[in-house]
Amino acid sequence: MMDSAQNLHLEEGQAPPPETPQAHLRDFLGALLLLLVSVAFAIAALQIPFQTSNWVWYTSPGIFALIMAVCLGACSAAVGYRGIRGWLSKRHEVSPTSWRESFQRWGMGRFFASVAIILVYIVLLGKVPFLVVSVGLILTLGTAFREGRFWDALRPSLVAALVVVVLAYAIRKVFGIMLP
Amino acid sequence: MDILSILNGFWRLLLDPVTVLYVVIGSQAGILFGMMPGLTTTTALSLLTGLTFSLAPEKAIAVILGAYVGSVTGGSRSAILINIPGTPAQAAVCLDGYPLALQGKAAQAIGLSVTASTLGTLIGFISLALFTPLLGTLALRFGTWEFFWLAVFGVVVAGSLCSPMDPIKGWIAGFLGLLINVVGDDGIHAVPRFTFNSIQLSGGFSLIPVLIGAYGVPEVLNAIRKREKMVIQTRVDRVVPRFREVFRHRWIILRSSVIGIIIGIIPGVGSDTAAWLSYFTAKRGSKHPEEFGKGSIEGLVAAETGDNACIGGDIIPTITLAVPGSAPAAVLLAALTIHNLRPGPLLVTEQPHVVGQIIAISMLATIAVFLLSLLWVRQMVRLLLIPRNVLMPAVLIICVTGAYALSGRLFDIYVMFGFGLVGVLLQELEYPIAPFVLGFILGPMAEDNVRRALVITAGDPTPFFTRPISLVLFGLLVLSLVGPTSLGRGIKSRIVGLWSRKG
Repeated sequence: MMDSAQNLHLEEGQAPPPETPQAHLRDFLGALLLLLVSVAFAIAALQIPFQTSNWVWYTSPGIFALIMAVCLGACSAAVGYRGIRGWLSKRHEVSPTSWRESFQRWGMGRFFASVAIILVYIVLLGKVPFLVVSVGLILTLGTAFREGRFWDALRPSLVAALVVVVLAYAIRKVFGIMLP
Repeated sequence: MDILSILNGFWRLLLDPVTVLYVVIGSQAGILFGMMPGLTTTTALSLLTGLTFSLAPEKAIAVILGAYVGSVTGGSRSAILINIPGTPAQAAVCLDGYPLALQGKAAQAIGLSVTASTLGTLIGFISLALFTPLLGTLALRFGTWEFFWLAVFGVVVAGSLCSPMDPIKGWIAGFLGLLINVVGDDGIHAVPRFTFNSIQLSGGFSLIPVLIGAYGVPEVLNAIRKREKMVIQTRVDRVVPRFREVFRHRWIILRSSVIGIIIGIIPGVGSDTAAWLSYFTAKRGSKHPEEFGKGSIEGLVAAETGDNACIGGDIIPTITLAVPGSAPAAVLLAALTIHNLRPGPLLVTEQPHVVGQIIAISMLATIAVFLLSLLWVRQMVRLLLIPRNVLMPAVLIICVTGAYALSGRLFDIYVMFGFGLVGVLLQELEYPIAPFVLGFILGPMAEDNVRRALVITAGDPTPFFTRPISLVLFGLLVLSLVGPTSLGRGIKSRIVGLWSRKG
């Protein structure tokens, strides 16, 4: 059954509980973030009065949000506690350079660069014609994150840009959808 | 609803060649989406829901259902040829599909996988036709208390099953979805909640931008982030399988179909689980289990049949109870709602022709996908050669168009990108996205019903635990919450121990 267990891990969210110290720390930080979200929602839900002339506690607009925030907070706290306990017991196993290596291996630089480019694209939407800014995005991402030479990457990017222009035109004509 | 309604649906469909054309277009679009690694069925359906918003309901549903069947089937192409599943459901297909391609049997593998998919889908839709009226009649007995438990049960079960090794993460994702959904004006008193006085937020987050964001944007960002070199097996000969070969695997097809349908009916659990379960069941029952993972036809057929049969199973609770069987079915639910076809018991009893039409479209889509999958094999294989860093920006632009299409607000594009980043974060922290999406979709159902139920009983919660169906659903909820924990495992091992001692 070992192979079946390994195969199952390929599926979305089906990883076993973390074993490495980094995974424990990641779990803790993630849970902390979710805990903050739940606390923010709980505080905001408590601002809504439970009893007014219009409603009683069980029909209050804030009650469901409060219950969900408490459930989210409780589960996050459990994951966070498990994470910090695991991290504290195994932190001596982490070498100082492994964080940088793992960031590089993950592709952090490419990720942030692509997010920045997409953010610029979104900011420009509505200010610059949609097709112009979209063609710009394809050419930028297609050439900036190329594997080979610039000119080799430019040709497929130009083709993709052309396809998108044709597709956008078709979407507008066939489905009658306005573009941003 | 009876067989006449379905036949009526078929008749109406065949009389309308434009709708048939939309089914074919949707099926082809689905195959293309499915075969592109990283583009999931949910992404395809979310995009098409936005893009087909302006079409007449039956035409929009034709495109969406065509794409649903097409993308689940199309995903096997890349799984077999490049060892990367087109959609998560095809991860099991990689295990035997790619080794078969390496042995020079790519065409045979594609042909058999398409045929198994078609048979699985058809069996799934037959079950849809058979069980929808039954479940629809049962669902008429559901009151506001039962619908509340059903929504909560759906989210919790999806959490448990999408993250079986660490169910608490699945539940967290579900609760987050339920919580995010409360943003916007309250449905009963119209009180703004968590809107920060923003007019844009007062309507809450629209479903389609959230879905496109949660599923599409992370795929785009991940494809750019990763450097992947693909080895493509482009040699493809005769793809049409021999009847004898298909007939030899009839029991695997039947068994995997049943597994797929059952898995499909369970809320929130999709094709991927069905494919894996079918695969392991076939392996356990095989005379040659040692061949599994090395190019076993049985493994390939089982996985493909299971994940496709799941579609029919997914749609059953979606139509009858308005509780989606999986993430793509959740989008289908949203699409039906957007087009004013409100899924639920009343749809089955009051508008049986709509259900008949859905089944007819699904059947037609299955046939269209079968033919299209075998017709364009060589040409489609070439599409896999497109570099991902070129393809994905183009996909992102289609995502932007899809998110914008529904209400023409730039705000929806910001929402899409924001939820895209949330999706990346959840993926990296190993939280499944499906329960999050399901929570977001079932949130209004849960909230409205719990408040309505308490209004009816003047704040008395006892009917939640005393009404028979409510009690059953509550019991199932407790089981699904306790089952995966150490307490649940302890109880289970004790029961097993007692049984074995008795034996």
